[in-house]
Amino acid sequence: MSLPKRLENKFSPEEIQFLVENEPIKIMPRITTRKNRRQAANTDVKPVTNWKLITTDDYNVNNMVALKSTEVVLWLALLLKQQGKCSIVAPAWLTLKQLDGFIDFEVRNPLRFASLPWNWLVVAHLLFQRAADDFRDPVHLLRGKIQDLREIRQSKISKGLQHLNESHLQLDNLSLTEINELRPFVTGVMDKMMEIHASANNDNAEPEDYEM
Amino acid sequence: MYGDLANKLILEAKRTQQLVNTNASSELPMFQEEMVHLILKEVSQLQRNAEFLKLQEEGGKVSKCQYFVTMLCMERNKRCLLAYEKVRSEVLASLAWEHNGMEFFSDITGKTQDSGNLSHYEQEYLKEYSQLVSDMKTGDLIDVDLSGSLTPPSDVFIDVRVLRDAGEIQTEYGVFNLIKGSQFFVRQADVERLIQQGYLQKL
Repeated sequence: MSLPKRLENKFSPEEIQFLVENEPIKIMPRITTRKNRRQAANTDVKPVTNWKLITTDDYNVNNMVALKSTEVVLWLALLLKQQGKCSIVAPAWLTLKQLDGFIDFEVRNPLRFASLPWNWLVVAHLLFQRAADDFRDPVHLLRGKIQDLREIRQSKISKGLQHLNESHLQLDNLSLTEINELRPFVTGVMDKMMEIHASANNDNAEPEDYEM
Repeated sequence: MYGDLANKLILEAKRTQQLVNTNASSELPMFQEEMVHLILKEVSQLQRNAEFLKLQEEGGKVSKCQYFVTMLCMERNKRCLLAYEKVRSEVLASLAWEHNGMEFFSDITGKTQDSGNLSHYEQEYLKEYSQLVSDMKTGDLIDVDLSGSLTPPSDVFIDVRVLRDAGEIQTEYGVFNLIKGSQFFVRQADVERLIQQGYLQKL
């Protein structure tokens, strides 16, 4: 079919990255795109390129001043970073101290997930890969913490799968990647359970069911 | 028993599905012509039975039951035949989307070398389905390459290595001289088609 089987009921990891790349992030530009007044007065002398972005707000892009932090979407930040035209400011949760706090929370609350942002895995992965020199803390330690968090949460997830039932599931603070990995398995199992449940119920309680 | 043949056909369909799912090579196994033929023969025999039963209307309960079971057998055969054909048609449709759409939608016959494996009707179907696909692409949505890659773009420029000699190939954005083993740094959008056709390898 037009959509391949493997994409039919879940996102591919690339698609998740694509979604995450639409989130804003803070950067320190190394170029200036804001026009100063003199330039603005005689624009005919030097035609200044004005960006027009169709997917996102372009005000910040046209208004960058070198070394003054501003917020742009992640894909643009990565593009600029690749060309050495900005440095990315790591998000507040991506510091050793914060991550330690999260890990602590995870360990102390075996039944809950720490409130990491929904895209933490992808953002961490992307930034480690493409902006490793912009972190204040050493990257290998951050990487280790992220890995720890991931493993703790994974073990919790697999424990939580014992409680699969036919009606509902509560997954607070689970990130998109984690949900997406689970999706085919959990929805498949829950669908089957629902089917069995419904057919069993219909046998004895048919009249009530159809009154709805 | 009636329906045993149909079961075999379903097993064949399952095998097809697995084959396509695992190695993703778009080669469809042979159309099981004789098995389908045998099933159809069985159905027409069943039909004759049904007509015969209908003639002796006065049979009462017993003939009613016979009639019903005959119908069920036919139903079963129909389901199996349809399932088999549906599996194959899905593979054909994905073929039409993945390969025939790329750049040269003229060479429908050149792309599916296994057209001998298709039945006559399937060949017809594939041809018309590809036509539908290209109609859709040249319709209102002409700006978007609907059969293009489904992985979202991540890098604007990429390195590619030429795997197969292709001489000078014209893409819409310019001419490349593709010599085997050479390497280019090009915009991804330009070479996506060539990568899909297997001339280039992304690095």
